[in-house]
Amino acid sequence: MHTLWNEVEKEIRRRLGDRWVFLYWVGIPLVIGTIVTVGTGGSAGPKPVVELVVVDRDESFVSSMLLSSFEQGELKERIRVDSVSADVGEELISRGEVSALLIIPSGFGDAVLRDQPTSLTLKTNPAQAILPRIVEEVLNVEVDAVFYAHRIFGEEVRGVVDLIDAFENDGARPDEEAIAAISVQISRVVEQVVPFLLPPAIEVEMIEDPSQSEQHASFAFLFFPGVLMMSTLLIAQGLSGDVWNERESGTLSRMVSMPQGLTCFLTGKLIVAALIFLVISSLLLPAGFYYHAVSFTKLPLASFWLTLAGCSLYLLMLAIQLSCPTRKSAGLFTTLVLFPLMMIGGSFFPFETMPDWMAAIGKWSPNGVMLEHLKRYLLDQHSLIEMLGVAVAVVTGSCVLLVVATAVIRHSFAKG
Amino acid sequence: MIEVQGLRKQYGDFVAVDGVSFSAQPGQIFGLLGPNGAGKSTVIGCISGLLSPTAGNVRLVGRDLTTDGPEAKRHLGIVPQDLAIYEELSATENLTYWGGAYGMRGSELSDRVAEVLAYIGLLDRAKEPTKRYSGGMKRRLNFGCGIVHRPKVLLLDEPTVAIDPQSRGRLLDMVQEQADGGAAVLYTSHYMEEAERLCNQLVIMDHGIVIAEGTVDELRATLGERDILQFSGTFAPERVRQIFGERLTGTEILTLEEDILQVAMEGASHKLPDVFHVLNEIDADVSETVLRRPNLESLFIKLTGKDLRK
Repeated sequence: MHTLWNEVEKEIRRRLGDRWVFLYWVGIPLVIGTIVTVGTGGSAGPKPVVELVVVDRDESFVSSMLLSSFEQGELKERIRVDSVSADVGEELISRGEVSALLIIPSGFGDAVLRDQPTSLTLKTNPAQAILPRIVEEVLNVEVDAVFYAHRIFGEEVRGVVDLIDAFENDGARPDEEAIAAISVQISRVVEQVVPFLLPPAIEVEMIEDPSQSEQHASFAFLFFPGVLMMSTLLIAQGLSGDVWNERESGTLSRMVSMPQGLTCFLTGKLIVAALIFLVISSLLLPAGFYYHAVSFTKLPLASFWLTLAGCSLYLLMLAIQLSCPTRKSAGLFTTLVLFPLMMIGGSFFPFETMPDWMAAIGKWSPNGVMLEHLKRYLLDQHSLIEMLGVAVAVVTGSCVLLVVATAVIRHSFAKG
Repeated sequence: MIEVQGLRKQYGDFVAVDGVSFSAQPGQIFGLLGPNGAGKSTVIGCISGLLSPTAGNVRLVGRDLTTDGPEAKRHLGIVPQDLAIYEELSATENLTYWGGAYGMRGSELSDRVAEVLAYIGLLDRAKEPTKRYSGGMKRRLNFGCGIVHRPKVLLLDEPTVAIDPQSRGRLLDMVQEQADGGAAVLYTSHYMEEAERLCNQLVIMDHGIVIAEGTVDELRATLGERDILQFSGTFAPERVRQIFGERLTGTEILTLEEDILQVAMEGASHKLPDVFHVLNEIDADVSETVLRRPNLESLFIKLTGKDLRK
């Protein structure tokens, strides 16, 4: 125990001798976080709006109904609809300036009323992951609605269409008797249907799906845990490179000839790494908590979580460093691992903005797992039991990495 | 004491050290000499625990390094050839750390650190980061880190490399004082005069094996009174061998390559005209001539065919 404390004390003194590195570790996430917050309008910034352009070649009553459906209720705040010519619409979508282009073909309204096949063309912006999906969902709902309307009121609709055809072809005005008959028929159908609909046979209780409710968080907030994890990864890489300093300064060789052993040496380094992660996260988290109005009661566990993530990532980076033949190749290789991890692991782009397949992979990356659980914890969407399970798995993996690193140092790395 | 018995270290097909045995007693400075690649560093690596021997064993203070490693290492102090100090820490912090790593603590440690600082002459700059030190000061601190825990066995691997004459003299004195204090010292060096000055017992290694062993006087006696003559230039080896055999009887050729010739002979200074005459006859182009009186260095050349510092 005394030799371990001796190791920890020495490492702390060495770290305190290099204060600029601390400024770098704290500064990088603060700068990136500030840029992201300003760039996305911050937590009170405007919500993203779907830019939908429509080429209406039908210009019928039905196509007007379709377009007006995008202006109902909450959709009105989320979707802005502009009618444009075909050329302008194609140009806007090809330039990526809009979320989606909807083309309503000529004869669409007639086909809908007569229950005949027709199709709408929706071109989406591949650079946007979420916004075009909103338009797709609305159109799917409307197609379903038309289908069921035909099943219930199909005969009445056809009656109306026949009257209109007669008027358009022969100029025959629909007589009042026919209109009354259709009205009565519709009324009877409604009377038959209402008992099935009201009161509803199934009570629907709205339970928030955690994966969907992420949209409640502001765009800037989605970046917050990612930036913290980015900082953690950078610190882990920086600390792991110290093993080369030890080797090149000859202290590692001297260490091997000492009775205390290398486990004590590496454990001391790990403890100091944990202290660094704890200090850095304790400095960065309160700033983010304050800005994004996260409860400060979450601070201790969030700090612990980042510290745990940092330690495991440090050991991972150390294992990579030890597997490389030279310092230069180790620096190159850890960088080659670091940046893809940051990109796919949700630090550069939140998982919510990634394609589903990429997000699924990213959430299983070492930093992605920790990031996803941290974010859910901050959003009140996670139980402590789940986090405990992940923590146990991470600690187990870290212990394995520690044993492997010790063996590699003893048997090959220290010998140069 | 240090006991090395039948030490062998093999890397694949390459045998770095083969069957090396020696022992160094408390109070003795044991010199381990050899040209580059002779296997000295491998022997030092095996004794310090950095390398695992392929065969043979090493015992320090009666404890086997393989089976009782931690206890054996507790009595071992190392002063490596390359510096092994933390340059971001001060001399006090370095000594405190290395002493603490050997289990020293409290007032015992702080008193010993102060004592070593005074001993290595760094007391007045003890609080400064060592990266500001001169090369000689770092070497002295490197030595201090090796002795802070009062080791009974001290390994010194060319401790005076790249050091000014003043610091070297002080360092050699300190090595002698460690032996006088009862430590068994194993010393390697490229400087033969250091070995002659310090070592009670010497082992000369080449190609991984021990080629000579004894006290300085015993080794000097094996050389006899012969001088060493070394010529640099361009030679035809076959013709040199033939004419030296015919015309310069009593001359022993130690090294003969196309660009170097080393011979041992008695009264070389008087025979130099004859030697040059012979070399002239075979059209040898001599660019440099060196005559060495019998000493440890000439013995080393005789045994290994190489200059110690090459």
